Amino acid sequence: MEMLDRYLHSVEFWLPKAQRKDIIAELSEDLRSEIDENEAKLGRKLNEDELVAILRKRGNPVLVASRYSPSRPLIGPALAPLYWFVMKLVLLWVLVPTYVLVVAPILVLKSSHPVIALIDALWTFLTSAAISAGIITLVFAVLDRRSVQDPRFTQWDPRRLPRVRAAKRYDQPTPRYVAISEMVMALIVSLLFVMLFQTSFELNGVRFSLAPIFRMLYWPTLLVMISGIPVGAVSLLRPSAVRLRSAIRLAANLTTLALVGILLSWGSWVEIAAPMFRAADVAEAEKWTNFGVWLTLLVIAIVVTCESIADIRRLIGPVGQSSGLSGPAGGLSYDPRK
Amino acid sequence: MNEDLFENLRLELRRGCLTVAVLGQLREEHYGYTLRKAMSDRGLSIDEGTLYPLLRRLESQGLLVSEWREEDKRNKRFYRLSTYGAEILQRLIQEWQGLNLSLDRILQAQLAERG
Repeated sequence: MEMLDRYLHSVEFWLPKAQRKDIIAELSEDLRSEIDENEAKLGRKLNEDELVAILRKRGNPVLVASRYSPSRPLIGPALAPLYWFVMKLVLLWVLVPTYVLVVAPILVLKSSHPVIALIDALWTFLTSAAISAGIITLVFAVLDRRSVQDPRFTQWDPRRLPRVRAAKRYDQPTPRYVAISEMVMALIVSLLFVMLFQTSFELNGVRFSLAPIFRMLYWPTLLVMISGIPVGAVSLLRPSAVRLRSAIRLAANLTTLALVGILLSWGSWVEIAAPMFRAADVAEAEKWTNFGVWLTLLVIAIVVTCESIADIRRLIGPVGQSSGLSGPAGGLSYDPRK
Repeated sequence: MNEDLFENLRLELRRGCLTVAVLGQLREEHYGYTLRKAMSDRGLSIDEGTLYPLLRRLESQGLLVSEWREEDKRNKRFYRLSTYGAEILQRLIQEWQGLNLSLDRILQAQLAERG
């Protein structure tokens, strides 16, 4: 029944998220009933070709899923799921990161008026988003008018559907080696921080001075670094205490976010003094160094926010929650009441 | 092209009829698979790709009610007509009978003219 799981998984991918579980449960049950009936008639299990025939008769997973989507006049139901998938992919996963991480920082750095540069970046982003959305819609509208005859929708083979990946569990106990390495790493990083931290240092005659805010945030930063030790200890001593582990890490991540926020509000983090170089070159080096710090802080903020969201999901989600189709019954026993 | 046109018109013709048929069949409780079988046994086949989205839509419109229950060690979603659905079905049947009568008259008259 692995092929059946793969079929259901492929349909599930294209379904509206809110109804996904319910629809798959019903579709799974319907397919099961048909298979059972055929097996009872034949007095034996269905072979692969017979199962393929049933699935092919049901239709391509994209088309099956499309029948559950609200119809849109410009893009028909057959292509609507793919259309929204591509739209989200381009706008959320390509344009937004490109503008946040590359375009906006460059415009801000090049401009003497950061606020105007930010407005400029926002305007450019909106224009690009509108143009991208327009092109995607146009392409799909054209495709939609040709897709009815597209052989990919009629001559597909269930044997070539992608494999079902292992379900991602939010309450998986942490392996012992991960817990130990977490504690060791936290210890090493904390010790290095205590031993090496200084607000001013010299490198090849160039003096780098950190802003006073770093000294003010010394103890909270050390606390965050040390927090890896209790997180690892909880995982090691009580592997099933997933929520306790998440709670400690969430507290540490929220503290990190607050620290990053304070640092970002400071504006300038490093001062460079190099008497042997031209003042203009030193100023340029200082500007790019600070840009590097700003970018690093931004990346930390994004990573920590993502981790915090995952931890909040672990904390508020039901114990035993998992996503995906895999399960003790091979993904065929759905209970939407749960 | 003619076949496409015919197919589109046929689907349009069937669409409304299927809704009445499903509502009518669900005066008795069924889950999806037995509903399809029952309709097919009475000469009206409906593929699952049409049936399940239709059931979902009719339920969201308040014409059907559904319930997940275990039967033969498997969870199944049972549908039946709601009170509101029964009222609507009654009116649809009257409409259908009126249409059927009118169509009969029109088509019979044409046949008589030709004959």
